[in-house]
Amino acid sequence: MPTSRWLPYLLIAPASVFLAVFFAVPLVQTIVLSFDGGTAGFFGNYQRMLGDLNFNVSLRNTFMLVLTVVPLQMMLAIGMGLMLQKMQRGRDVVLWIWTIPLGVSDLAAGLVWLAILQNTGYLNTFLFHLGVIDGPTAWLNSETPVTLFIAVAVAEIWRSTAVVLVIIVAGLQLIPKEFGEAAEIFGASPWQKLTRVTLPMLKPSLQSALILRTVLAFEVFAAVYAIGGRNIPVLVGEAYVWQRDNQNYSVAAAYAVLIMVISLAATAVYLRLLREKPEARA
Amino acid sequence: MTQRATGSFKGWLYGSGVMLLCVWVLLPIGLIGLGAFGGRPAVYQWPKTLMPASLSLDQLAVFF
Repeated sequence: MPTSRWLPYLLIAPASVFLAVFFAVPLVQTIVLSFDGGTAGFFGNYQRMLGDLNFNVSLRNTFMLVLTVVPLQMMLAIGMGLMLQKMQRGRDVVLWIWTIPLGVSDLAAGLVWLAILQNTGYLNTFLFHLGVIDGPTAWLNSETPVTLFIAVAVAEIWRSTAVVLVIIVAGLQLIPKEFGEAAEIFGASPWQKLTRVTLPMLKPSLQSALILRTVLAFEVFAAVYAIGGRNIPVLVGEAYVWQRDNQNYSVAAAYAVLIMVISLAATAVYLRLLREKPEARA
Repeated sequence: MTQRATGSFKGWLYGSGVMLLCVWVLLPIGLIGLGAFGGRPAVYQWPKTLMPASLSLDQLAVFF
């Protein structure tokens, strides 16, 4: 019947049109714009980006944030997932509490942590009452890059560990209990059970979580901007500055393309490293 | 240490871990919530108090 033959295409048409209009077209436009260097030539915008004073710092900061935040989040989320798995009572309430930051936007999370870590914030009040500091102390300016970096990392970990947790919890629920029970019967310690049974079985979920989190971590911006402003430049922040302050959309597009290329490369690395062998799936 | 004592210590450790993580998630939200009802003076108040000196809903008026 002709209707049934076209039905699948008809059903995916709205999603395809949506993706084409809101993703594919802007993507192509951004790439074209990034290579529109005018008199500077085909790679003019990229040369300008590479020559930007903040380029190296922002690239280094972005990579350092990704390399710090993503592994810590993965470990924390796996720990939280295992705790939830063991829980007899109140599991749903605890899961609900732990996933609250999912509903908090990047900027709001940045403002939350700014309220805690600013000069007159709650952390300084706590330290003041302990007698560690004498008065308001600045942790978030360019003269304290280490504490500024830690503050941004903490805010990022607080805000987006829940994303990883949800994926890990879903993955843990798919692992048959019999595997763990069999490992216990054979005398496996809790550590052996985790490393030889749980984590290998969790590989597809870990892969998804790692890809999602890494890509989002490369796009970090609002929380960084709220906490440190331009004291801690990151790649997306520089794209924003080139677009909004410098009104140079082409260099901003070059930054955007660079972030996309880095994200795609990271995804390819994860897919290759965490690839499941066909015999393991059987 | 007996097996029962070990088990109860593990349970306590486990419960503490769960509670600590709940506090880690909820405390920042609680603090910003208090800040939202404390008005402008509470933002710059030093040292901060857990309960703002004057609670007000004025900040929410900006939404209307």
